[in-house]
Amino acid sequence: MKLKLHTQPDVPLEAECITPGVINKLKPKEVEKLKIYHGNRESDLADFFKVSKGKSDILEVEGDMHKIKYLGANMSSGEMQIEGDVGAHLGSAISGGFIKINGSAADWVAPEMTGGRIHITGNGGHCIASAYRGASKGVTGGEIIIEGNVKNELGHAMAGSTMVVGGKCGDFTGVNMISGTILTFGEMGIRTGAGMKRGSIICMNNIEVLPTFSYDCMYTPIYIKLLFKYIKENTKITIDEKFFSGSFHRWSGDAIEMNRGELLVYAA
Amino acid sequence: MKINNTQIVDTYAEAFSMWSAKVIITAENDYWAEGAARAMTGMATSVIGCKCEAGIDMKLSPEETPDGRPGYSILLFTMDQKSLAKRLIERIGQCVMTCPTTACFSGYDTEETVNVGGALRYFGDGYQIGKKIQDKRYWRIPVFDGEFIIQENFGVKESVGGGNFYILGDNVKNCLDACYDAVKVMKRVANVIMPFPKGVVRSGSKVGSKYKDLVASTNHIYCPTIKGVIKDSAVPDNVHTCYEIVVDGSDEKSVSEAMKVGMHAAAKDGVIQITAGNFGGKLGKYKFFLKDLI
Repeated sequence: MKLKLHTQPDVPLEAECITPGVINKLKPKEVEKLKIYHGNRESDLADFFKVSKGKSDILEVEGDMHKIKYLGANMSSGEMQIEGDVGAHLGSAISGGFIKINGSAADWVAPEMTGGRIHITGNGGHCIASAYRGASKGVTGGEIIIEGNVKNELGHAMAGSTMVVGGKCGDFTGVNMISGTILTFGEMGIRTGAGMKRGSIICMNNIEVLPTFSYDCMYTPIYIKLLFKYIKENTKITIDEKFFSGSFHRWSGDAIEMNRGELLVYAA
Repeated sequence: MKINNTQIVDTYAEAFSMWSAKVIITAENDYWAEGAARAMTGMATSVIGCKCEAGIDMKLSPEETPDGRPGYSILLFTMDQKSLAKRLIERIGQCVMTCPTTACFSGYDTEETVNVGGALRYFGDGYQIGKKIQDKRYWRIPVFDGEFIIQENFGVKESVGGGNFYILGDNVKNCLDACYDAVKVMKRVANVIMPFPKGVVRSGSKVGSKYKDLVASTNHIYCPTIKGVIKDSAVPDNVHTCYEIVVDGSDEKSVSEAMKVGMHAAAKDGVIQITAGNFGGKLGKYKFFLKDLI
């Protein structure tokens, strides 16, 4: 199925139904009648999107959708290709399937994610893969690759996912992290890994390490080679050859928590 | 039937079902990768006395390995899936994890798997770290030079063990030359191993023995020294030496291919006859007819 935005909403549109699991089961006429929320008013999907039959099972969505929230929410299988920028809460509570965005995403990408993959070729906003305020645990599975930059609180309290950022990160990356992996290639903001219990934050740029982390050693983690190879084969993120054979400084922390997390910072 | 001047006996090699795993070992350089590969495949010639059969399948370039370092692929065979997991844990734990700079991955991407890394991780004494890339989980176990990384699950598959052919020559030298040439070309075939020393067996066995506790004994009909005292000798008059080449493979096609190239390479001057070992269907379900391979 193919959806093309024809009318820009005046206020944010909540479109939880735009997901392969819902749309692929329906005929185009039925899809047009799906309900979405334009602000606090219920509307038909056809009020904003032109619906046509696609050539494959991939759900294609096109347009400048920076005001459209919850695309791919609750997705459990299938594939969704989005051409254009998207609004907040993309892939909320996703548990399976694949979302590819040729564009940028706003804040709160994939809150409560438990599985699946999201690949954003542009930039991401704040609180990507973060726990909602008050929640003790954030995302628990899956993978998010962002080729561009992201803002603050990437992976707040994440527990088991893999995040890759090709560009810069804001402050508090991996704050209160429980487990999982964050790999970043660009400059980092302050307080990276603050309060982390376990998990790995791998930085290709130098970072200001918090005093509650203790230095271990310099070595070459083989796991990073596997991760680099996977990224090289699946994204357009450029990985300098020197990173493949380079050494990393390892710091353990955060001592104010379990002290079982690690910061791996590229050394040379 | 003949290849060159060598007679090919109209018979078949009888092979049996085994379970195999392919293990990829990588290391900082070829020296250490080979060290681990040789250690892991040591004393693994026959399930009869070694609990498994193992050998180096291929040397791998950095482009062919999961972590971009030089490596080796190893095939390990046992009679059942359960014992395969045990042997992998023992051998990877003792021979690969102990070797400087190594890492270990599954070479098969099969649905059926056995848990290897998930068992060896406990060596990390609580300091091990689990990592997932897509649907594959790896364990990082702290060791003296950094970390030993191992995949949690190793793919396993039902495979073929005991493919074979016998080379019967007029003397030891000619027969060994033929074996050498045969094994050399067979090693180029992917997904097979020749588990015996340099790929050759001189003590070919038959099922059973006159001694009731023995499951296997010398295949006496191919022993030239007793040709005169037994009635059922299979050694022709002008033959004074016999050797066997045993092939285990991940599938029938690979075993066939290896036998085919091996027989053609072995059929040279001084090799009187090429035949194969079979036990009338008592041993296994696979039959490799030599006439189909020439």
